[in-house]
Amino acid sequence: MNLKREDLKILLVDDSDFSRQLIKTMLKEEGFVVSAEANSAESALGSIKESNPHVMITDIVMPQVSGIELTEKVTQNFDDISVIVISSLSQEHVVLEAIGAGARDFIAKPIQKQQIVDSLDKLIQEING
Amino acid sequence: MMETLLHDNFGIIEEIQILSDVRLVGNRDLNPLSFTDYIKVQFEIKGNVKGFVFCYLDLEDKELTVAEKNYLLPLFLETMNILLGQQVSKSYNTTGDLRLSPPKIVSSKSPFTTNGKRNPVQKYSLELRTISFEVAIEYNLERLN
Repeated sequence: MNLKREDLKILLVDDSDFSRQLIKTMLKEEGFVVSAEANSAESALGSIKESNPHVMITDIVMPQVSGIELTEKVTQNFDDISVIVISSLSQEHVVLEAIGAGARDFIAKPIQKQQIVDSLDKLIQEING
Repeated sequence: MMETLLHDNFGIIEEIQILSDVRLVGNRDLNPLSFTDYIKVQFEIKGNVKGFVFCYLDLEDKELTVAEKNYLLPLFLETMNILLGQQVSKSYNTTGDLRLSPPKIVSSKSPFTTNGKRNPVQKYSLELRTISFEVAIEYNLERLN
């Protein structure tokens, strides 16, 4: 497989429209395309089968179902979807919870572009084998 | 009150940058604040310390179009979310496990003033390109033992 940045299917989950727009812009500048978006965990779960993403980028603090619970559900039910968790919270136990739930990476807000790009590039390398 | 959280973190967060060349929040000396035209956003904190944090964005003397206000609100929400998230994270060693709720916009007609207020208030300025907005963050928190 020779997956490129623009081929990576990204599902972006954040209840903040502003935050999603910001991350989309940041990724677009680097040649990535956000192929699907959701403003809640429920909405994300509903769209996964249709969008079939390689990676889900999710915030933690969201109404009703948190990003940690969403990560657990996704990693338990979809083996081929990687999860990157983003949050303004960065206590050690929060990071450990995210990793414990199956996230491959944790990125603290405000997001540094290089961090998220490095994480996605590493995923592409792994997919390409 | 969450004195440790407040005092340990005054000055830690000098600024937050979301957009590459825009300084969004800068820490300022705490002086009395008073305004009547503002956006108020509420966060709930749960854990070993519980209560509410209210963030006020002062719109007084600002001539903003509806489009500018619509741009400013989500920017303010996200900035406060990040600022409080960092405060909560950095206070973990002294306050233990804290959880931050999603932001909630609160409609209120009551004037805001720090004079005579019993809750601690931190003052910031939010700088968006050439415009600077006063921001007051009021901490109404209680430590549980």
